[in-house]
Amino acid sequence: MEKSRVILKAAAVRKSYRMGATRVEVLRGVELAVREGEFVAIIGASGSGKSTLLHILGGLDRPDKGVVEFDGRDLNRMGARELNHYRNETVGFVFQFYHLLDELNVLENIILPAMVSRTVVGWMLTRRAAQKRATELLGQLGLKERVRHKPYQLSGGERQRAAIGRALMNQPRLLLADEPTGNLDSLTGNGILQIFEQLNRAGQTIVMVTHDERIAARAQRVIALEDGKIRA
Amino acid sequence: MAGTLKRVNAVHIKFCRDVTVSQGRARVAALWQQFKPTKADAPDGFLLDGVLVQDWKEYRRAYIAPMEKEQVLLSFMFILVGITTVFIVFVVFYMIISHKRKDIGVLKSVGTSNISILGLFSGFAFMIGLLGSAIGTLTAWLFLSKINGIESLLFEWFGWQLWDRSIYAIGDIPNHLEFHVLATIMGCAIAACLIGALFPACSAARLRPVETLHTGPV
Repeated sequence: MEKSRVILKAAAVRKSYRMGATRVEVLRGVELAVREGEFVAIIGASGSGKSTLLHILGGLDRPDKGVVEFDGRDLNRMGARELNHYRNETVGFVFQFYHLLDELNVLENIILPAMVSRTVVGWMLTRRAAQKRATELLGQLGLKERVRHKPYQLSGGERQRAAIGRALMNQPRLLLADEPTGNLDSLTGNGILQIFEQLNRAGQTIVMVTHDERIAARAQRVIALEDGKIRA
Repeated sequence: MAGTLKRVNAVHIKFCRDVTVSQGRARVAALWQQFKPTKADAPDGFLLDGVLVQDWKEYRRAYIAPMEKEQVLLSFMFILVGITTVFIVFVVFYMIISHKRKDIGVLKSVGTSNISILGLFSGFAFMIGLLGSAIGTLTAWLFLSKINGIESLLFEWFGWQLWDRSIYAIGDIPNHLEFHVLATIMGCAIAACLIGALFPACSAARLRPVETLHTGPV
């Protein structure tokens, strides 16, 4: 079977942070390539730099050195506008602590990325289509009965499913998940991983960060991050 | 008035509606300058040298000057209130943004631009300013339109004489509303809100999402 093409590439990525008087090198030349349709798990101990790497891959942070390319486009060379567009259209984020907006209900949280990408007039014209897409996602994620509920009225698993719905709203080519089961019990976490597996079978590219080897084993490929480098 | 010389000590002139006070005063002064030499040789003509042409504000200077001072003091107080408003709005927005750091990070993670974040908080400040000044203006208008009635009631019920007619030499408390002044005050209130919110909104727009999303579920 022919291998799919590489859509995400990181080369010699370095990142350090200043902590008081000392400078901590979190990433020390990370090399990574993710093919279209792959389900990749990045595993590493706490503080190994896996979340930092995920943020850099998702355009939330910039590396000090090195190149990150998506579909041949260098993220470092993107302007603010292009990077916003990349975060909105190309990437979907799933966070450990869900990060849903408490003032909005489940439907509004899911619809948020679609709202952000449009002007007021554009939103008026496409609102119905976006609501239809969000309702479909809610159905797929088993949240149809929770449409009007606020995040604090949901269980942890339901919140994470809503967060997955938000990440998938604009049909991103890449789904980035930062410890998506880290705040859930094993049964609920398993449900979330099953959703990821289903999405991947449907062709969704997923990069997941975890510290748990059993969770990482559910991915097609596991990459270990140790002392800021990919372990050979 | 039985003598041969008839005297007056003041002549009050009311101008037509379309003549301004300054125009009318200048015209009367010019007429007086023409008239005075014609009577210079008349008996007691020297008295004409002491005649003054004044508008009503100059004539009532002794009463109006303290009121103008009060107006200046009130304006100064309003400026202080304005500065306090800016500071309060600044503190409130700073606290809102401190509590909403995570939400700002979430918005940025789904592609919201810095300008949109700035616009979001500035729009919020504008709405607060608009709503606050509209309520304030309406309340002030109601209060001013009834101020003389309220003053009379306070005098009837409690014997409080808030408007001393012997000082101001005006029967009623002046309550004429000038709509351009109201509009200016409303504009200033909205501007105060926008100025107060500007710095916190800019700092919210500049927040880096990774800084805000590295937090727990709280």
